[in-house]
Amino acid sequence: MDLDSAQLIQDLAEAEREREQLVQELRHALRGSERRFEAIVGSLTDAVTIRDREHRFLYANSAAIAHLGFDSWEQLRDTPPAQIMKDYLVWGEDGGVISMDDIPSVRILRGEQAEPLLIRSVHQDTGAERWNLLKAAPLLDEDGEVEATITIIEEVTERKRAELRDAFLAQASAALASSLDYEQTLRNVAQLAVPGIADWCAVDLLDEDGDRRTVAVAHVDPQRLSLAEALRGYVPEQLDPERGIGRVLHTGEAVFYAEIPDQMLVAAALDERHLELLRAVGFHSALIVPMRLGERILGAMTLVAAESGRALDKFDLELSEQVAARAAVAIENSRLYSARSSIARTLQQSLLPEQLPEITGYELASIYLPGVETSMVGGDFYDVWAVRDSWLIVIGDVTGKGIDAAALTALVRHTVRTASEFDASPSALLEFVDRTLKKRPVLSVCTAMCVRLQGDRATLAVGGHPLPLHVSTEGVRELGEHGPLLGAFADACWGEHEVHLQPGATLLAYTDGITDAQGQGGVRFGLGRLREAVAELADRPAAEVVDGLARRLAEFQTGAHSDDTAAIALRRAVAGSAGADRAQAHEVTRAGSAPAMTATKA
Amino acid sequence: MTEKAPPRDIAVELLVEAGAVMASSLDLATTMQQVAQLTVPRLADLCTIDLCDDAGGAIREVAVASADVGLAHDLEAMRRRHPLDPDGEHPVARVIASGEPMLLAEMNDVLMRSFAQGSEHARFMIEHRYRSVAMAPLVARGRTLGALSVLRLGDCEPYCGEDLDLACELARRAALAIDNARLYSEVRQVEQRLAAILVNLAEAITLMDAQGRMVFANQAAAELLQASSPEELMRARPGSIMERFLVLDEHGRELALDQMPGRRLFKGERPQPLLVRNIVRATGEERWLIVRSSPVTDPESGRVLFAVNVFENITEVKRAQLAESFMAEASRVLASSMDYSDTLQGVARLAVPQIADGCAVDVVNEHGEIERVAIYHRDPAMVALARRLDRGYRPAPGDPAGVPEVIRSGRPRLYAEVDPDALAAYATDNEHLELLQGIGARSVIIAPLAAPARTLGAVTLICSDSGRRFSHADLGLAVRLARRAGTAVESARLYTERNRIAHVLGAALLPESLPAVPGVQIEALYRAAGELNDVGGDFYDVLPYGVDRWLLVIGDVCGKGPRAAGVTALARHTLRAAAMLGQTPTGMLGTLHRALRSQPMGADLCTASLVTLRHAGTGQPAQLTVTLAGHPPPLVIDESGQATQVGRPGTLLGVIDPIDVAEVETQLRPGETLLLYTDGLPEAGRSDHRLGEQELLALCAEAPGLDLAAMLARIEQMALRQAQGMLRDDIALLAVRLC
Amino acid sequence: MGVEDQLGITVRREADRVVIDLDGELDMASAPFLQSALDGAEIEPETMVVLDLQSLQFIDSTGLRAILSLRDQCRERAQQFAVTRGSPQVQRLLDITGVSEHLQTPTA
Repeated sequence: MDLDSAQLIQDLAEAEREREQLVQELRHALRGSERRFEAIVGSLTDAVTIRDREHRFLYANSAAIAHLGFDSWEQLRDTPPAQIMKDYLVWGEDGGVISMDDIPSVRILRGEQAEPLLIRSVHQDTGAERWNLLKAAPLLDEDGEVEATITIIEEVTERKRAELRDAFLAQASAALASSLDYEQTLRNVAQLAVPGIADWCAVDLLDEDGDRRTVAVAHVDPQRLSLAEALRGYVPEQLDPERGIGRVLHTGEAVFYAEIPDQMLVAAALDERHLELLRAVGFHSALIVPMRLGERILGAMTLVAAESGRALDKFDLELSEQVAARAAVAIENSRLYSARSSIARTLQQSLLPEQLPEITGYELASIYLPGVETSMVGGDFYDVWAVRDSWLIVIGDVTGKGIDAAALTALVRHTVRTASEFDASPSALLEFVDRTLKKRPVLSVCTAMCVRLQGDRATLAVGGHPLPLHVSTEGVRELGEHGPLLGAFADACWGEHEVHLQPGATLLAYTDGITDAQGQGGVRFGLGRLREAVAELADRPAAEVVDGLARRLAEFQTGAHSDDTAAIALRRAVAGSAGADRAQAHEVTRAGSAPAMTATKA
Repeated sequence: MTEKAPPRDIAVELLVEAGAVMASSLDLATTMQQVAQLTVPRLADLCTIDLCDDAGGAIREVAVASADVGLAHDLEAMRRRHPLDPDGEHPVARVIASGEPMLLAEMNDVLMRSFAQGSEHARFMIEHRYRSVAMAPLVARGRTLGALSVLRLGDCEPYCGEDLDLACELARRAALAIDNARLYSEVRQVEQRLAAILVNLAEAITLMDAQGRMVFANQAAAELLQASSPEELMRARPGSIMERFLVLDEHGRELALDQMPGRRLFKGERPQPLLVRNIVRATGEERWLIVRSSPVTDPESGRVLFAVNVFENITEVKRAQLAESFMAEASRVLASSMDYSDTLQGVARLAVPQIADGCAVDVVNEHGEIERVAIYHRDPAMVALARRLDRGYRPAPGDPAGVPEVIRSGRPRLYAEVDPDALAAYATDNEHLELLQGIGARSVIIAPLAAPARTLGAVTLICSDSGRRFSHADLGLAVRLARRAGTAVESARLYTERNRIAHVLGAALLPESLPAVPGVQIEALYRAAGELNDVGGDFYDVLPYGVDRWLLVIGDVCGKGPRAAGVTALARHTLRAAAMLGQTPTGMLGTLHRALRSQPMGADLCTASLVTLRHAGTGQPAQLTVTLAGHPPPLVIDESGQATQVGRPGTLLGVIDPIDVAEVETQLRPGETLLLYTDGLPEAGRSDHRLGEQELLALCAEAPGLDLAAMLARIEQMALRQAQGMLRDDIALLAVRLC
Repeated sequence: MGVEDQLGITVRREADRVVIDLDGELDMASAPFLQSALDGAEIEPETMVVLDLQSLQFIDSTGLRAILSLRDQCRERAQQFAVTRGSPQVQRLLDITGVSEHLQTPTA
């Protein structure tokens, strides 16, 4: 061999060594890449799978293997695609069923763009629910064709649940805070819970006597509600305090049934039909939480997972407890409002005459419009009663509003009645009330106008109050003279004024709520308008006088009035008219604001 | 016809050229084609290189070379139509299968027909006068990848053993090149997959080396770490990226760089996933991350080459959790007491520093003014400053912005970044501005305290020195908190109002204070049954009654609640008026009876005891007149504790007409005690276990030793104990002792 | 319009008296402010307190009560109390209720 050949052979050997090295490096790089790949992808909590053009698995990391319910890669690889995920029911975000065609990787193989897909899956046996976001991307070969698809299955269950929970909690809280009609809001809340949180939701309340009442039952399919109806027929009189809702209402502690096996239904069923119904519901798991405020148990909220196959868990329990706590507050608030209104209403009833009596030969009519303020109980009062041969009418205004005024009104009313047994003259009565008021430790003042009717003679005394009007076809005039407020001044005294009432003449007593009523531009109704209004009604029956006045006032007034308004009309009946020999009493109140009073009596 | 050249030279030349070709490119197809081309025409008329697929599958032709281009094409076409059967008799197949070279120095038609893949193939070979063929297996890493075949046609020098050796040599090198190319392709594929995965992952992933350099980062990592691209991360100096953030653990303690799991991996530790709170220094934005790190180790040495860091962004979930636990805690605080200014202060303390640096609560009072009921800040100096601000510059209901505006509109406001100019415009004077600047609020939320019907006030949250800023998520939580607080305030007010109603009604039913009667001690006690809110039906009174004479009244209206309260008011006021008018006890009861009867709605029953007391002088007995109407008789307790009932039973009031009552005269000696009570007392306890008259008499035995107030307290205690804390009916006690 | 705008209260100190000038409406909403004004004025005993109602446009029973309450408080503090006449609509109520008659009018 010559030198050239030897050199060549050396070069060849050199080249070969280089190639060997290159192979080594490539092998090393490949191992490195594979290791890196495995290190990264293998350790991800998100499941990653790679599938070929026929959608067979080429690769799945351990998270994916576990997610799909397998123990090893081999198991997964050897299972036909159709078998995978057969244990799960899968729905999209909107509740529609998901088929293979919707899966992003399949869509990519079809040549479509595939956006991430959010799915909800429930394991048919365990009922465990998961939310996953499927993201897929194509892997292209050197020619740019899709040779494989990668799918990342992101675990978003907690995030999604937190979202659903937040949404439910927020909506439920808003619903509960929105209205005082708590039964309606409880119905709304139950409806919000289905089907996002459970398949059924029911709310029961305990009333003051401890009786249970179901106020809401919700299911996303209204047709299923008939099942609930049918089951209601089987509720025992006495709830078992050891189990179920009885236990919750008794102990105030929540009850949670993660699973409801058939024998539980059998044990609970009262008869065959009952068992049938119970089975028809498809109970899977249930929880019952108390609605309580401290020690007081107001009711309970029940969630049932049934046909969706979901299992309720501790997170659902916490959520329900939170909503139940808010519901309890809402119920309590509503009740407090109602209680307050009912206290006020009842008080009002005790402060004003239940019915106006009948005075022979006279028509009697009144209006009472309480001022619309939160306290609701007003300061105006009036009363009509008989003492021996006389009838007494008193009308007045206790300064202020609210309960304090109510208490004072009670005092004035009862005091004046009692005093009238002894001396029914109006000025004596005012004087007695004045004395009584002054005995109180706190400044207590009121206005009052008192009329004593004996036959056709009306004697009146006025203490700090607008003068009553005498209304007849001849005109309108004020009667009496002003006297001081009651309970205010040391040296007060009241005079009496007498008038004979002719047939058809009306005596109208009123409180300043009428003259102070505000209309457009802040203008007050005033005495002028009052005189005009009654002048037009001069020879009408008492009932029409007060009705007409109420109407005029309503037309004039803008907005709600803040002060009480009261007026009484006493009219001497016209001989031969329908009311001549019989008394007439007529009362007008503004609908809905004052307790219902009896209507016209003829 | 090829010339026979010196074989060795050709061989060397061929190998050198082949080497050059194979080193020049990793593109398999090109390389193979070039190698095949090299052998023609020096070594062969036709050269093919066949490769088999992985897993010993089909045989695919990758290169065909021939001086006759047409022949090359036709062979390609033929092979496509009749691919070689890997298990068949074709010599190439057998070479691949056996991994051994084969020399067919001289072939004849018969031989060719025997291994042809069909008659077309046979005709092809015969027509083109296939003559001599040498086939060498392509073997690399112990695997047969395919075969290299050289062919001479027609009249030619048949191949000999040396030619076969050369073919094998060439094949060996070609096999290496093919293997390299495949390796390269595999690496590329793995890298491509990894890239595709990493791009699509939401999680931020970085790969860090022992020096702390980021050798890899995905797009999500770039976004999380506030870089414009992954490349920027990879270019950055180690540690410089992390300077952009304040990293805290879940308890708020600052974390050093080497506490991060990735760094710890290099120290040989195996760190657990770490929950961190990461705040961007520049913007104050806050994220919650779980950092998981795993090692990429060198298989031979076991050394950690890289740390793979995966950052899971759980900000939303964490926020939601924190929000929930905060709301639960706040709810608890709000429910703990009916004193809402206390509970609101508790909530303000709770909010700081969990959700804000400072918190204030303002409420609209009954005059329509805005009153501050709670204030708290991390820095106590700020609390003082805020108080000064509030005192000097109280917001007025008509103000255009701030708390008054939120209260009017009922809508929350978020000032994510407070604008200094806007602040200056809001301030009414320099001192105001100074105070506002002193507070240093950078981010503000004002949320309405919402109750069903109206807005009761507002909750103000500020971020000042912590570097935090509020976002919309924070606004959501603030609104929920304020709404919850609003409900609590409303409840408390309703509760208070109900209490006040009861209180006022109660006050109407009970005397504000007992008058001082000379020479006589008077004490009274009232204990309502059940809830404080339920107004009772018992009443008592002490009135002047003529000269040196007093009237003691005790009574009980049937029922409870507002209706009974109304009747009780009637009873009390009627009796008072009657007393003032100077009626006799019999007369007073008659008046009351008539008043009750004249109530149209239902029967209102009432029992009452009236005792007049005329005091003669010190040391003298007092004259008593006792008149009863359906009420338990009062007791006179002498100095030895002996108790005697006084009075004659009379008719209940309000029902039966006429009533039958009588005045009975008796005396009260000095040192003796007169006790009036309502039947809530003897009725105390369960029906089978009542206190009873006997017990009561026994109680009285202790009376002389106790002062009046203590005696009443004892009686009350006994009753409560008997009833186990739950009275069914109210108890009123009125006691008089003559000194 | 805020409540403060409904009632204007000015406290003037003159040689022998303190004058509380009311302007606007004295009713349930604004009455509490009258009380705060009196509290805030820190008037020494033995001084006369005059309530000037000439600019008062409206008064209701709560306002009336507030005036009477002021009277009681002045009495307790040994201060004289007087009330001027008011605008026609205000005077009407003061006449009806006997306030004008029973309360002192300030000497010029």
